[in-house]
Amino acid sequence: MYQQDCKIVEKEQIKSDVFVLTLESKEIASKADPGQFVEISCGQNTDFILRRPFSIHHVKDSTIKILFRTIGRATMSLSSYSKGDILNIIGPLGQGFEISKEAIIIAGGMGIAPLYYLAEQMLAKGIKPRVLIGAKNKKELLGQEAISELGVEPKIATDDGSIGFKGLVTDLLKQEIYTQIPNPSSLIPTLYACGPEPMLYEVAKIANDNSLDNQLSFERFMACGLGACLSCVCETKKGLIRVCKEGPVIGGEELLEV
Amino acid sequence: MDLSVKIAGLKLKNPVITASGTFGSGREYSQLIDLNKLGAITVKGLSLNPWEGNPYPRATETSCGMLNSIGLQNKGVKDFIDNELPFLESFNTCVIANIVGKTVQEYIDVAKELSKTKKIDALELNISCPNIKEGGISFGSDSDSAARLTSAVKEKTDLPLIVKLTPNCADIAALAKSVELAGADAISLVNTFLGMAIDIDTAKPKLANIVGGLSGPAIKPIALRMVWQVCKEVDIDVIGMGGIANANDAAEFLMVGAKAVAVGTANFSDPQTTIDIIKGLKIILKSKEMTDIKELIGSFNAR
Repeated sequence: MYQQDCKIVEKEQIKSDVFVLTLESKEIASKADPGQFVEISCGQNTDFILRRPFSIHHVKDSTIKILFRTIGRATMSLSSYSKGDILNIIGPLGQGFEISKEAIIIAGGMGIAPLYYLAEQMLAKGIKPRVLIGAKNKKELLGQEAISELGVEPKIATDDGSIGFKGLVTDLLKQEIYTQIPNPSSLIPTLYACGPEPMLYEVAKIANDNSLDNQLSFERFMACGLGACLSCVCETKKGLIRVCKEGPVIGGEELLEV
Repeated sequence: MDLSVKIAGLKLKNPVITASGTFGSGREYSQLIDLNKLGAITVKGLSLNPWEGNPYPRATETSCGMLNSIGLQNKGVKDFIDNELPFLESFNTCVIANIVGKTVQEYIDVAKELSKTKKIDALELNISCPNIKEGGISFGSDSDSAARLTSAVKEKTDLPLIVKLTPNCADIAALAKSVELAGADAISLVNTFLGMAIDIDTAKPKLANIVGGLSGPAIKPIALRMVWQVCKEVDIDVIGMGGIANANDAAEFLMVGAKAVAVGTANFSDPQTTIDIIKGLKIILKSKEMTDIKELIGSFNAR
């Protein structure tokens, strides 16, 4: 874990309210596993005092990327920074994904952020995951192109059917599981998901019904990201766990009420 | 340059302490800062048996501050002694244990367990947590019950006893005086201010507990006023806290008479805050041509 001033080496605006920042940190980049996150101080304005957690979206050489949507005052502030500016960053934090040989990746909305890096790392190890991406509509869809460029054609679900399957990405997941042609290597897939909490619980339920391993990346309010404040706790069969420390990736079988 | 101070007879290498509940048991920050540099570490509130804390969501950010209703989740004093204290022992820093209970007897039992270890430098009696139904603030908001608990615990421990006061009371100076008379060796203040926040879209509270404690820079002027009032009222040492985020903030509390300061929420904003404050205090002393922090303490000139 490091705390560093990192230079923004690239800033991309991929939608009116979605940005990708590339940040220089040899140390964080060298340690970052898919599913881990960083805590970023999003501005000098003391109106918002807490750092914000962002999934590590990509790692290349001595840089990491984060993907974020402007949803409040801190992310608005973050979006005002430019190439060459410095941000103070703590990371890498938390427990990431464990890579298995057969995988279905399920991304809901901004949930693509850590899963893109996971897909890329799987491909680097010769594992070709199936990728399902859910969005409200075609306009808000994130990650389709980026995943395609990795060489995996993602399946898309939108709430309004403006592109791909009409319905929830978890309905698409059920289709994928029930209609899949048995894999010749007869490997059983592990489900990897990140997205809104109801989606994660639905993935855990589908996994449970089909006896599949599943690793879910949670997002919760956290003040420190270091395991000290106990704001981000999640109730599990093992008791209360800290999403920032024992998570953010949690095995679905650990969740209550699945 | 001498930054050392004495709190209730306990010598600290500098007046910068971490506030309970914001620093875990130190381990959480040890990869980012050198714990040896701190004046003291106050660990998260310890109860006799494990406490689960309150439901999620437990915290939310507000303008220049945050609200929390963690509810003193902790694994209990035995777990702390077995698993965290040996780690803390490896550092050359004073350790203050914050203790909580639902009954007077529970406070006494926790105090006894910690006193037995001989590895704790002081106890901080938490009679000020606004987030639990029994114990905490229910002992601390009126002078009589605060005094009764203070003397009951004081009788059962040889450790310096710091009593942490709540600002959610009618008369902070009177409350401070009553715990001083009951035998407190030092006073720390302020704990958080009871507050709330609502999500106007869902019409629901932002905290599952509805209300929680406000901390951060938003409370600093009120905290400073209260610390000043208490320093005028009591003869025992005072540890000032409430929204301290930089060396200038810390200097204000020292100047009104606090012998030491504690940094809480600012540890979340920047884990380097305590270290930066220690450096910054030296710069402030230099600019005032002082060589000893004790010259700064109480140097407030009200006229």
